[in-house]
Amino acid sequence: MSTETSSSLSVNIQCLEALETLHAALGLFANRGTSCLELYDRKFQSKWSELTHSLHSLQARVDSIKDELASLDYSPDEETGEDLNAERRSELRNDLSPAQDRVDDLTAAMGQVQDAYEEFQRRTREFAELAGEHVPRSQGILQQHIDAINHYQSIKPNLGANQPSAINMTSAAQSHSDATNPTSGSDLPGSVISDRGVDSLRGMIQLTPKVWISLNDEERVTVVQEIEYKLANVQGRPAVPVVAEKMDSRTYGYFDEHAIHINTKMWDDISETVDTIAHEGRHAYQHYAIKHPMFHSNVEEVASWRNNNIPGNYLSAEKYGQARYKAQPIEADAWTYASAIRLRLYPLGGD
Amino acid sequence: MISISKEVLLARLSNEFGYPPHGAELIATDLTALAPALQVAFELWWTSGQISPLIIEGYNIETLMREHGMNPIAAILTLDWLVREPEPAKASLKRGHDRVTMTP
Repeated sequence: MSTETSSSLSVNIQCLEALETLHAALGLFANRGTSCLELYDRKFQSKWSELTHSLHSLQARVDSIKDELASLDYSPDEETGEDLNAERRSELRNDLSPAQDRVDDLTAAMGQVQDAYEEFQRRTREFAELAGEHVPRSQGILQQHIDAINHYQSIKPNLGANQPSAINMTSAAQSHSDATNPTSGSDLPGSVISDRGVDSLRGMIQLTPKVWISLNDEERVTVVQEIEYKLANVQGRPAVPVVAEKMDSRTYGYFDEHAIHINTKMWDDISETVDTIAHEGRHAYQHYAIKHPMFHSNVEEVASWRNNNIPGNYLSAEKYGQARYKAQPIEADAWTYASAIRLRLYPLGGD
Repeated sequence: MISISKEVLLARLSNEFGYPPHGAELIATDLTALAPALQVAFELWWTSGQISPLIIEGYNIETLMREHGMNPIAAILTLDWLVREPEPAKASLKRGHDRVTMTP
């Protein structure tokens, strides 16, 4: 190998590592940022509830004092003519003033907290926009560069054969094509989209069972977010954050319209994990199609998803049994899509 | 066919178990077409609250309730699916289930 070629290879490897690090960092940024904001939102709701309870208690105390004051008539002593309720009335007036002050102070403070919360919500929305649109877009651009370097390596087999991140040419070209044409999947039949989804994932060495099982939770989060970015890109929709959490042992994951949630108690089998991300990501696609008329070309199918999504129409397995759950439009579609990807990527399973 | 009328099923499914009208109709339709063995299991539970130990393809009402979070009605309907289409039903149960919450 010549010095020049060796030097070029070294630079390529460094670029590739830097790009992959940046790519992963962006994924972690979006994922952890979203989790953090959700955590603080929940904490705020809890504190707000406590404050509201305190205000109600204080207000009840003030009302009680006022009621008692109103009920204390002038009651003269038969011998001295002195008002028998005067002392009690004085006590109550002494209590009323500081109690009312506390109510006023708390009301004012809660007004300021509410203003701060509205500002927090505004910034949370800005972050969600950043995480949901700009981060995937930036990752798409980074991925193009990663693919380009891998492509370069792959057409020089003697240089790139030992690179751990090197992916095959078909896959690189496909990813590049998808990244430059992000809406390419939306008008295509589901089977074609799932085919493209499979192609987009084939280059990910982390999805091989041996590599996957060696990754820690943090690394796995980055990988499942990467799967979501790739599939969202193929489907032509914005990617959503993937949140890893512990759930009961019968649930692989769920979609709540803002994020995909995956059960870390159930993710050792990579084929099941890919299935789950693809399945929940398909729900994200359905949600996007419902919100964006004409995005999905089959309007009748979108109508069936919309109808299925009306409160009371979704058939949970817990109440309606597994058959009804699986046969309803949004689940049938998601199961078909995810199974197609899993079976093509892992025809022998993922253990 | 079970001996309980559809009207009785619908009323109790809505009032006692909280199914919406459309959901109660689906459930009642499925219950009236249960496989014979499951008719017995369902009527036993419906009238006495007792859970039948009947095992189908390795599952019974109790395991479906405990391991899959189903209520007794959903568990019986799932056993019925295991009777009618054992392989797809088993594959589906192995994969578990998810939930979706989206604003319409």
